[in-house]
Order: sequence, then structure tokens, then C-alpha cells
Amino acid sequence: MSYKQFEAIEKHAGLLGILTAVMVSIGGLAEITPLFMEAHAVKAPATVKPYDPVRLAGRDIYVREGCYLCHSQMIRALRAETQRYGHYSIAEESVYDRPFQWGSKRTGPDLARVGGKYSDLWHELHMTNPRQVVPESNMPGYPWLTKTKLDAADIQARMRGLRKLGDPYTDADIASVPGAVKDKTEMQALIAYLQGLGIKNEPVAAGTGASAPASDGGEP
Amino acid sequence: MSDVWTDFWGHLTGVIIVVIMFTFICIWAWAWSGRHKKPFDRMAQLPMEDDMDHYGATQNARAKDQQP
Amino acid sequence: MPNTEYYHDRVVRLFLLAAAVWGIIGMSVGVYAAAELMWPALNFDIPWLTFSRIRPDHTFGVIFAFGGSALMGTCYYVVQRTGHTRLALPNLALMTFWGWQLVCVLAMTTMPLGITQSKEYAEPEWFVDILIAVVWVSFGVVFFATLARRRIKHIYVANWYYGAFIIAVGLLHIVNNIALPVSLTKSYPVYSGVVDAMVQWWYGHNAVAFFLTAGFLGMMYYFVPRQAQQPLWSYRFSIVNFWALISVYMWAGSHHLMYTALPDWVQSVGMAFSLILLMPSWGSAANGLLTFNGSWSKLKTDPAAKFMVLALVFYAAATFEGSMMAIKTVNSLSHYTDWTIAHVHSGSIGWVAMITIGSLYAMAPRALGQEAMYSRAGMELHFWLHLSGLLLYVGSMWTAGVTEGLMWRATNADGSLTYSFLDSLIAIKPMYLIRWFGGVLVLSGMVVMAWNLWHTAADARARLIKPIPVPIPEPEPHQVPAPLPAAG
Repeated sequence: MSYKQFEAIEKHAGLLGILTAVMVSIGGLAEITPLFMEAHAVKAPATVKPYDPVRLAGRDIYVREGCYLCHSQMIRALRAETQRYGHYSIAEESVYDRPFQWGSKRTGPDLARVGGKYSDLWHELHMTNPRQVVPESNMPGYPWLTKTKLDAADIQARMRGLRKLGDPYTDADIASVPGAVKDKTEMQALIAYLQGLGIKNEPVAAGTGASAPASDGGEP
Repeated sequence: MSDVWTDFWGHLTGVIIVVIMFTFICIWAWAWSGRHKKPFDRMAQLPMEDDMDHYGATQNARAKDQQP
Repeated sequence: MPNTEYYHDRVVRLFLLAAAVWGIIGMSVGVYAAAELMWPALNFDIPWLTFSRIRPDHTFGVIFAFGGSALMGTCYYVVQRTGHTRLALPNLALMTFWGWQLVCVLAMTTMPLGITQSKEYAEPEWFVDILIAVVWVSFGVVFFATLARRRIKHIYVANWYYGAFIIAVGLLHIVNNIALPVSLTKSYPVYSGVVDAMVQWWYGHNAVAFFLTAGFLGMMYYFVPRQAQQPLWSYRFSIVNFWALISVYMWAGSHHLMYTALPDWVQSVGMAFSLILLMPSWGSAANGLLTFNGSWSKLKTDPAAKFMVLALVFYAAATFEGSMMAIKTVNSLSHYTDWTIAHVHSGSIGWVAMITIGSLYAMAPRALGQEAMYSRAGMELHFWLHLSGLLLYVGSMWTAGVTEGLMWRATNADGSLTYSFLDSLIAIKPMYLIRWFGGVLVLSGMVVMAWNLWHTAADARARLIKPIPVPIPEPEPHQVPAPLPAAG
């Protein structure tokens, strides 16, 4: 056996590793790279704005509590779905969502367009103890949300972080935080976030029937 | 721009799939080629050797390995 | 020639212990979470006891803590046995053990406190993610360094799967968790919206592919022939399956996002590859099952073999189900429902847990210096508890899922929806009760296993274990890598 072949075999373990890495990378690269390219082309429609300070705080509470484990935020392009929840979700609507919260399971109804369907009071009663308003619900209560106030400095740090990632927050936006969140509780922030979900960002031209007001998602 | 883009990725995906399928056939041929039969048979014995190690039959295992 | 080299099994024993403990913890959290879906008051209005806070603890606990410990332990065992060499870098190997336990403890305590990225199966925040990456790379270094000092010329196929598992999981973990920390406890991913969704499900799907499939197939390819006392049905078929599996799996991730805002062509590619994926999956399952051909009688006497055979049956069933669920029309019914939960658990309780338990029962006596497990009746009991729990779980969740799917799409003659969302929840509540009970059975099986392991480990606890010598083969001519001297 010549020395050259000898060497090639000697590196077997390394070669196996490298070939494996190449094979596993191909699929992901082929699917994700074009999405990256397209995502740069996708601009948020004028109606989709980055979250204001209170809603951003509310969204982060939604993320912290793990709501996505039971509630999706992705209405699929299927008739029964659009009939129940409203116009199907489009890519532009979640450009400011870090992380995305589309979810994978509906133990409760979809929330992509829950904004404006219920009153603030209903939400507060519901999240404090869901069975006050929906007796058969199996959602846990989140009463502690009413007890904690928002922290302006923390939210400002978050907005600065998001700005670094490309979200168009201005200095004025960040300076406005203390005034906007003063005396607000986590519950109020979360409600503000929910009430903004799907509001004013349904595609206007797409279909007249589909974008009709959705039927109730969770009311008994 | 988007259409050109989609077309490009469509073609690229197609090419990659053809290359992968060809590679796959080569791997199949490689695995079934006669010269690999012996080492593969040897490899396939490895999981059974652990028992012998354990029950104090190490000597036997070694003796077996020493056979040409 | 005096033999002075011994297998390094201490780290294997530690991982074995960790797997048993995390298995019980992870499944207990699962049982509690299942109970909360039935009786929501069970969170007692305590944040860290609430379903949405502990559900990541259940998934992390069973996948990464229980499954991860079992995979790393068996990997260290297998790479030594199939290379006829002791572990390279034993101190680094011990560090991977303590590092991984630290990762698990940190993740499992921070997530219920709300320190979470809320990316499914990648919930731990950035500081845990960095630690995971460090431990994972060390694990890879120990594994490949041990492979490099093997005394057997070729690399046994189980190691191929373990190697792919290590490389791919490292890659997935790092890419999916690139984030910008804004404080000690909060970070934002660099991806947003649809790109984040694609990256996340590329990760989520391939965590299943390489953690829950390739890793456990490595386990299967060593412990199944070992327990059947017969060589693999076809060694070369296992190699073909290896390349097919690792190259096809990565394409299929987008089947988690059917009918969503993801571009249509990505969904179609995902569906096509999911169907192709059935071939290597069934190839591996068939190879494992046929290995038992001729020693089916072992099933009467050996509960470990029973666990393995059933694991392979469930592997075949779950991969078939998975490919079917990736068909768009089926997915439109099954997605978002408890059918997904049924599918995941037939894969995890059926395939992953059963191949792990079978392999642990096969490995534990050897690693613990015993002829056999302490109680065979205990293993029998565990088998039946596990199997009945599994069937109740999967049956109930499948029923619930189909019920939900059908009720959500049912329309009246005038085109309006027949049921409110709440109707579907009320309809499936009995199924939640059955699921919870199934979970209790599986968990009690794990407790029986822990008890059994505890008694099997009597010698280990008394530090009486004799290390197992490495059988050092006579060097072949031109052996590569160059044969190591016996001492070391």
C-alpha cells in the first residue's frame, strides 16, 4: 500500500465527519438561503409598525409565559380557518416578531387576529381566572400579572437591542418609554399586545369574503 | 425579480437532487462491492464480543482475533 | 502479553444514573402538565407551576436530560467496545458529564421562572445555550479522539450514527440560537418572522432527526445485534441507510409549516422529501427487526429484547405516520391538534424511550459488573406498564386529535361553522383524562426501572467493580491507524 492511500485512510474518522457535515447542510441551505434573500425583499406594509413600548412589553410577557404552547398565531389558508379566525396570516405581518410565535398546537384558539374581539375588561377577568368568563375553559389563571409594574429602563434596553437587529426604533421612541409605561401593570401590557394582534394589518385587496369579521374563537 | 429568483432556486434544487441521487447510487454500489464483504463481516461481529470480555472470556476473544 | 488497558466505564455509569433520574423527573413534569390540562386549578396560581411554564421543562427533561444522558453514556460505551480501545481524554469525558448535568439543571430551573426564548425545543436562554455549545463540542472531541485511537481498522456503523448525531445537533443548536442578549435573562433572535419560523422548524425537525433518530439508531445498531446475539441482518444496508437518512432528513423540516405564510415551493419540497424519508426510516427498522430473525425465542426470556423489538415496531409506525402527516391534505386536518401530540409520543415513548430502556437493560449489568439485572420480574413489569401506558396515551391523543380536526372544519348546510372552539375542547376532555392515566403508567414503569438499577448497582455503590480489560487484537498488516501499544 502506497503512502498516499495510507494517509487517506488514516483520516477516515475526520473524513466521515466532514462528509456527514456536508450532507446534513445541503438541505437546510437549499431551503433557508432563498428565504433569507426573500426576507430582505419583504418590506413591512405601512400598517405594520414595530411594537410600541407597552405592546412590546406585552409581547415579551406573552413570550415569557409560554402562551405559544397552547395558542397559535398563524391562520392557515383554509376555508374553515379563515371563517373562524379571519383573513389568513401573511408573511409581512410578522416581520417584527422576534421570536415568531406562530405556535404548533391549539389547546386554545388561534390569536393572530384576536385584537378587538373582546373588551379589555373581559381579557383581564379571563386571564386572572379564565373560568370566571368561560366555565369549561382549561386555561390556567395568570393572576400575578396584575401585581407587577413595567420597568421602563428594561424596556428601553430591549428597544435598543431590537434597533441593533434592524427594527426601526427612533431615539424619540426610546425616550418616550418612561411616559408610556408609567404605572402600567404587566396585565395591561399583555392586554394591549393582544388587542393589537391582527388589527389594521389584514391585506386589503385580498378577498372580500375572507376578511369579513371572524366568528368568535372562544366564547361559549 | 422574485420570479427569476424562484426559477433559479427551482433549477438549483433540481440539480442538487440529481447529484444526490447519483451519489446515492454510487454509495449503494460501493457498499455492495465484493471487496467490502470481509471487513463488513468482521465489523458485524463487534457487538457480540462485549459479552465475552465480560464473562472472563477475554482470553478467548483475543485468541480469536489472533487467528489469521 | 499482560493486558493493562481497561475500558473507562465510570463516566458511562454516571450517565446511566443520570438518565434514570432525569427520566423520572422529566416524565413526572409531563404527568403533572397533563393533569393541569384536565384540572387547570392545579397551578394554584403559582407562576412556575403553570402549564405554559413547565411544558418546556417536560420536553427538555425527557429529550435532552433523559435522552441526552442516555445517548452520551451509551455513545461512550459503544465507541470503546467497537474500537477495542479505552476512552480518549477521560477527564474531558467526565467534564462533559458534569457540564451536561449543569446544563440540564440550569435549563430546568430557569425555564419555569420565565427565562425562556419561547422557541419550541430550544427554550433555554442564551447563557445556557453557550454552555450547551461548549459541552457539545467537548463531547465531540472525546468521541472523535476515541475513534482516532481505535484498534479496529474500520469504523463500526453505530459510530457513524453517533458521529452524525454529534455534528448535526451541534450545527443545528448553534444556528438556531444565534441571538442578541439585551440582559442576563433576555435575548432576541437575529431572525424574525417567517425566517425565524423556517430556521426554528429546520432545527425542530432535525433535532428529531439527529437527536431522537440518528442518535438512537446508533444505540440500536449496537445493542440490537448484541442482545440478539446475531450480527446485523445486513451491515452494508445499514451504511446505505445512513447516507440516505442524513441527506434526506434535512429537507423535510418545512412540513411543520404547511398552509402557513411560508412560500409554497418550500412547503412542497418539504412534503416530497418527507415521503422519500419513509424509505431509509423503514430500511433501518427492517434491518433491526430482521436481526432478531432466528432468535425470536429470546423475546420469551429477555425483556430487554422485547423493549427493542417493540421500539423498532413503533419506529416504523411513527415514521410512517410522520410521512403521512406531511401530506398537505392530511396535515390540514392534523396540524394544531392533539394528533401531533399522539405522533410525537408514539415516537418518543414508543421508539426513543423503548430503545433506550432496552439498551440500558442490556448495558447496565455489564457496566455495573453484574451477570444480569437485579430483577427480571421488575423488567417484565416495566415492559407491561410502559406498553399499556403508551397505548392508552397514543390511542387517546389520536382520538382527540381527529375529533378536533373534524370539529374545527365541520360546516352546516348554510356554510357556517358547526362548532365553536370550546365545543371541541369539551368533546376531548375525557381523552385528556385517559392520556394522563397513560402517562402515570409510563412513569411508574420508570420508577420500577430506577429501583431495579439501584439494586443492580450494589457493587458499584460499594466501589467493588472490577474494570473490564480491553481485548487487544493482534495488529493487522498495514493497520490504520497505527496500532497502539497495549499499555495505556
